[in-house]
Amino acid sequence: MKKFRQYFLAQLKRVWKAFPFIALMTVLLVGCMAVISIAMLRSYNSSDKKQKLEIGIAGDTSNNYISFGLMAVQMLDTSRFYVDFSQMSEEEAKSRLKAGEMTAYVVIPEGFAEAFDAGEDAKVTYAAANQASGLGSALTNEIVEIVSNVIYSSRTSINGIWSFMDDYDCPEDPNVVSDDLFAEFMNLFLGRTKFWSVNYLGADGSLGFISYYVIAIMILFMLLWGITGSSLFMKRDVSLAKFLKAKGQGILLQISAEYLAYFVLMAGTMLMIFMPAVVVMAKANLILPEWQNDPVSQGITFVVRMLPAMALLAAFHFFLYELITNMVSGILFQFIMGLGLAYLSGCIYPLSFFPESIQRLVPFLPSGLAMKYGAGVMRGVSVGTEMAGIVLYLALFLGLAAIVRGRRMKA
Amino acid sequence: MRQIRHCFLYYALLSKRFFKKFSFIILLCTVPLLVLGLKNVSAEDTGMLKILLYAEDPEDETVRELTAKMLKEDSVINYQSVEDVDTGKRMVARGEADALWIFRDDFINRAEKIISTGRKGGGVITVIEREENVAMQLARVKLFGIMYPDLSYALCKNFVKSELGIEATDEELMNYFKSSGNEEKIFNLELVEGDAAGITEKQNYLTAPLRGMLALMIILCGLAAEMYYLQDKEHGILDAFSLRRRQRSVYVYQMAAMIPVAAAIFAALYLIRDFTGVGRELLLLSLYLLDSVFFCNLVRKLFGTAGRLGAAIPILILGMLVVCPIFFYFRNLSAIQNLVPTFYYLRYSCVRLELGDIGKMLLYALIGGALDMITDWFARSRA
Repeated sequence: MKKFRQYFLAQLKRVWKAFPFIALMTVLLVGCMAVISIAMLRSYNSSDKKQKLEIGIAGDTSNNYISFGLMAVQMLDTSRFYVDFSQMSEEEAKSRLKAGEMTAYVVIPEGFAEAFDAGEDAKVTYAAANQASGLGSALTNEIVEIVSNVIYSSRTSINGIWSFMDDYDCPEDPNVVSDDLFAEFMNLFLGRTKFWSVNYLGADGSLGFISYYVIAIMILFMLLWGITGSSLFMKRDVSLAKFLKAKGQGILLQISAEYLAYFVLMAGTMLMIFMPAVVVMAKANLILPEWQNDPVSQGITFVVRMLPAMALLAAFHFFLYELITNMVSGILFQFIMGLGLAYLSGCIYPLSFFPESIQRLVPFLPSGLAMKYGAGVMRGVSVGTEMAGIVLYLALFLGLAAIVRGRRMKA
Repeated sequence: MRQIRHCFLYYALLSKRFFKKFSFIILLCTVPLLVLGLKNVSAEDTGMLKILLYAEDPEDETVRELTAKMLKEDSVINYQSVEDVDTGKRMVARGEADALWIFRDDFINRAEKIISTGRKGGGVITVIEREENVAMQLARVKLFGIMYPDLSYALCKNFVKSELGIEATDEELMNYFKSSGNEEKIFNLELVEGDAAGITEKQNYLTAPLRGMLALMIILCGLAAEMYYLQDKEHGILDAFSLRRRQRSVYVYQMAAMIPVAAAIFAALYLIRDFTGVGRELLLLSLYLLDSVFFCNLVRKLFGTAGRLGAAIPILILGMLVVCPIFFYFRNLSAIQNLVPTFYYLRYSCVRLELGDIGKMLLYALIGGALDMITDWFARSRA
């Protein structure tokens, strides 16, 4: 036990030497993120145009249907806050889209209005960038589909009313009638909420959007943090380990002492980031429903109670350090595993965005288990099963790390 | 000539060091396999939202048509029918679904009543949600879009009766006004100069961030190679070289690590069909490699030691995840975005590549190279 303590303290000393720089970088990161967030919020408040998705319109928009379509998008609940239309030439639209200043543009070809009015198969080109941020594009495409549906149905109706008036010998002026009908369509569109009534159940045992993302960001950060320890814990040389073993310090004790030192470093950094973060959240009046009684103390308690999740992910990193001793491969593996697990476990897009097969698998992954544990702690429900899973994973990762080291020492 | 031969020899030796490690080979194979796995998984039923549908009157023709349309639609919303309201409510409450849409009985008559009277009277659909958010608003707009052909028909029916004063039967009116909502779309979706960019498929939102994630791997690989170089320097492996050659040898370290990873990424992009043609991809990837080399060199010089660089990498990666258009695209961060080579690579990978774009990437390399040389010269003059 004495040897274990001595070795642990030696590891802690090694870690302590690296801690000031890690802490400095962490503070810098949090500072940068805060500055970026504030800058974005300010620009959002002062000029909301900057934040909106901009769609360019090239060609002739004087046609009633097109104006109706544009009005429809401007009036949609979801799009009016973030879609702006600007009229421009096709060349300008192309170059602005390429420069990333616009999300998409629409080109209305010459003769479109006449062809469309005549009921011919007329097409408008909707050009979107194949952006890496595919979610925004997916949403824009959905809105375009809705607009297309609305314009088509309206045209069918207007053409219908003209044929109807012809066949029934209506004395009214067809143009006046179609204008009236257009006005009715506008009313229908503006009064669309009359067609549904919304009832809210409240978050009964499940997390709200912001609460979910508080946990997701914590887990994402913890997963990527594994790269930090690479230079400290990735060792090609096992001569010290052999020497220690010869002196009676077994592999398991070595692994445990090194792991504990790494865990202290990780936990120290995480607490240093997340504790001030919950205080800032409370001061900024961003209060989660789960922390309504006392946001600061409940938030801090939550961060402290996340220590088992940190222990689990630290063990996962530690196992990778032991498994891959080459610096380049090691760091890349930490990155692939960290970002890959974070992505699949719902740390970036919510888990519900993924297919059922992934959703079923995720609770058994270390990151998924950590998310589930975090959600349980946040909701204040029993997390016994998750704790058992964490203990099992801890034993598995440390056991595997010991086996790998044993094999390397024999080689 | 001799110098070039030495350079190649050193490159071959370093590559051998990497490839001797089984983990490096596994890593190179893992990249395309993982990416292909995600591509296959994303082909399954996915959706940003899961919405449950329930009809109070399952025999209602309009409701049956509407729900059938929703269920077969290719959308970011995943629809699913439920047998009873309680099950649906329970699923929504537990977070297993985002909303439950209950189509009320006598759907079309209720809709007509709302149109003719202008009064809501409970609506035609009862929406049960856990909480309000933008995604749920989008879903309701989508719902309106799907119902629109039926609502516009109801409106026309009412218009003919009240404004034109003509009493006509449903069968008569149907021929004039009924739109199925399945007409050909008037918007012809084109990915920007899709043919020029070589992109033929609309991407799934789950696989869309893959190119960005893979691009970050190249930067990370460059930074890891820098750490490897610093460690070798600390261990005295490069002591036999003159200072100038020691400084230059870092490029060989980077190339030995980055080229195989870039090849794995190239293969991965090909496998997931996020590929814009061999020549174009090779050109973009080469320019990106060049820019990344200088970017990583400058980062290494900024932090100095392997330990510090290691501690800074997660922060740099997190920062790049935010500023580069990988998951989300923030348009007003251009001052920071222009400093990161990944941003140029991702921007130009989805549009027609023009000389000006190549020029920008070359200019980045030129400025980076100049800064690199100046700092090296300073280091030599101080030594």
